[in-house]
Amino acid sequence: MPVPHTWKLKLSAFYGARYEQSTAGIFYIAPLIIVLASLLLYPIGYSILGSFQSKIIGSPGKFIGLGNYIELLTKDQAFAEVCFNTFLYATVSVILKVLLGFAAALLLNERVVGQRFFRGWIMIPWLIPTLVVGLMFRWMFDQTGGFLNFAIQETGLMKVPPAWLADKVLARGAVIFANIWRGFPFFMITILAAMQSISRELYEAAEIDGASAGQRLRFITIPGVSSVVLVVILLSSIWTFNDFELLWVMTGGGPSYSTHIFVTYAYQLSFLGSRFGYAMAVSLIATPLITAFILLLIPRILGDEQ
Amino acid sequence: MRISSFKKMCLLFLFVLAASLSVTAQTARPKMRMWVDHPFLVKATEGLLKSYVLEWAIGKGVDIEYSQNSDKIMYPRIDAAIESKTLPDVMLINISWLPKLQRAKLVQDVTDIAKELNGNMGGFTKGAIAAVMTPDSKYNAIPFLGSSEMAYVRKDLLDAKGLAIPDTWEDTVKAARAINNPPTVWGWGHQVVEFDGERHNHAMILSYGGAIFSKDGQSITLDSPQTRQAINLIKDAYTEGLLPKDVVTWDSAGNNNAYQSGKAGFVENTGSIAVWLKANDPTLFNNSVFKLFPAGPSGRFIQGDVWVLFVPNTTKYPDMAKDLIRNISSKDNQEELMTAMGGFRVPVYIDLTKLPLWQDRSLKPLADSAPFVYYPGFPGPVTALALEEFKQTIVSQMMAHVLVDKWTVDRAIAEAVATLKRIQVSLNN
Repeated sequence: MPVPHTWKLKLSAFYGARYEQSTAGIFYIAPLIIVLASLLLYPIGYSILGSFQSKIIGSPGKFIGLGNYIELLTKDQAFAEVCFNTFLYATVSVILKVLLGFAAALLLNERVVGQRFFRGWIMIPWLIPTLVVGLMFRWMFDQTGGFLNFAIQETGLMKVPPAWLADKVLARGAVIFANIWRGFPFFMITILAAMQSISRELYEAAEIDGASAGQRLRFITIPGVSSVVLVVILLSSIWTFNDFELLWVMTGGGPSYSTHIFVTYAYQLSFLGSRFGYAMAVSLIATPLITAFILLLIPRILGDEQ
Repeated sequence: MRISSFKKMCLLFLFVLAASLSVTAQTARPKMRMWVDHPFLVKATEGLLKSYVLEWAIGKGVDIEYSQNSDKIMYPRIDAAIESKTLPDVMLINISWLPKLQRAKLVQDVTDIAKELNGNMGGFTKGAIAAVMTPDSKYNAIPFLGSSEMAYVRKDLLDAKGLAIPDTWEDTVKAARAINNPPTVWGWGHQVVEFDGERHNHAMILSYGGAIFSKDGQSITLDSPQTRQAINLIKDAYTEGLLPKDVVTWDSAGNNNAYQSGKAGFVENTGSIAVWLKANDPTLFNNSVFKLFPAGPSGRFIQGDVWVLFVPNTTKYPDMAKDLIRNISSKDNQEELMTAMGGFRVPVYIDLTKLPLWQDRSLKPLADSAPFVYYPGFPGPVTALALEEFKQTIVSQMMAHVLVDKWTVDRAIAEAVATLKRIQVSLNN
């Protein structure tokens, strides 16, 4: 389809003649842009607008300016706990997934018996649907009928095992454990792939030069996988920050609000509490923080690639 | 003039299109949808209700899409449908949805069909009518299923200690203390959160002489010495270890699982546990006593519940929707469904409370509970605020703050009252 002459002139006037040839491309990708804009920009825009409204489902929203954000930051007794839970959950889970994934990758990078078998089977937690993982751990951690407490009782470790999901601290630990169990295979397989791409000659040369195993790890392996680790940390942080399924199935955000993070709290407020506008404010308030985190990491990732 | 081949093709295409459209128009069948937001304990009963609906649809030449799921799945689905005004033609929902549907102006007046059905099977129970009738005596939904609760007691454990069956909350706690032997058995499997817990908390507050709402339904009266008495009874029992600590995380099946696994000496629940015990654990069934819900110093109160058939005013087929309701609410269908449910739900029609199944010792307390049953808002009317409070389980959250967050009772009550006032303001706006 020929590009209208006037459009060509307008664009070239703005960008310079060397951009003329891209105007045809713009027309070809325009449908995709329109679809993405409607699937992304419209919901985001609606959420931002909704967060400035007092809106309950089924009724038109009433504009209240910053009312929702002010209530969230000054009156909501659960909000401080939700913030703490979110950062604790995301930070501890990601750090431990990195460490565990790295350790597993190191082990599986060596020629050990059953290497191929373990490389495959260690992926199973990652393959199981999150809903199933949540139900499984909910059962395992159940005080009255769970497998963990059954094992504790049978081995005589404790007479009355704890209520894992009823104590604030233990419940947080339980959901973090479930998240790590499910997520570390992704770190393992990605870091392992990066390790496999490091040239063996580097290790051989280092060994000849007298480098110890620790020195080879510190000066060859870690720098060799660092860019991949940063990418995986970035992705996992975003996913963990927005983790809904596992938490909702395991604890529903409870006991009380001790395992609520932003996304589960927003869900409870909107669909159980009928406060759509307020829930949108909750879900959006963390956006600048996630964006800042991404902007901090991206230069590091790009810098490493260069 | 010769017509070109291309023009001939176009004319042929248009002719075929017109012909097929006219055939389609002649053979178009009404397409209806029915959603069921209700858990069916016995899978067969879900199939039974579905069979009534499909049979009706076949007879009427209607294509009907039937969808059933539990509340956790249906809540966001129904909310989305309310927001987008795309509700199905008929819904079986809990009465707690009615205020939201009224606010969204989606309610259809079904007084005609309600009055017709109220003339059947002895008419609706008083509570069922109160749940669906508007202040100007119109019906905004049709009662279909009810629920009541009773107490389950491990008689074998009490006999071993030489104890009588308790009837009051305080005596229940004393007996629970005597048989408490965790982790083998906890004395009291009392649900404090989720909808079951909300009903229990309400009932206990009332039985101590307190109330969440005033008699005119306009004021919030939760903050009272009687409320504190009720909360402290649960708090002390929890601290003492008479309740499993994870009662604060139980879902609606928590107390069921506790009793059915033999881990709880006393629980309060609908007939669901009795139905399960009969089918799966005759030993535990025989070791159990089924009795009226515990009483307090100010009497015995049991919070009932009602599931209703609702027709939104967005339906294209209001008359067909009402006909469907008429069909599935017929005497034969109601009797069959009630019997198949085995006591999991109680009838909303007076005559059905005389069915033989209610004479069974495990279900008779449910039939006998009628004089003690009340609905959200009591001692006032069933208001939008009362239903919204129940749906959001405000009193359960108050209990969770006391038991988990170790808030003082005063602070927890103040927070609950503030939340109720906020809901009241939003409902009035």
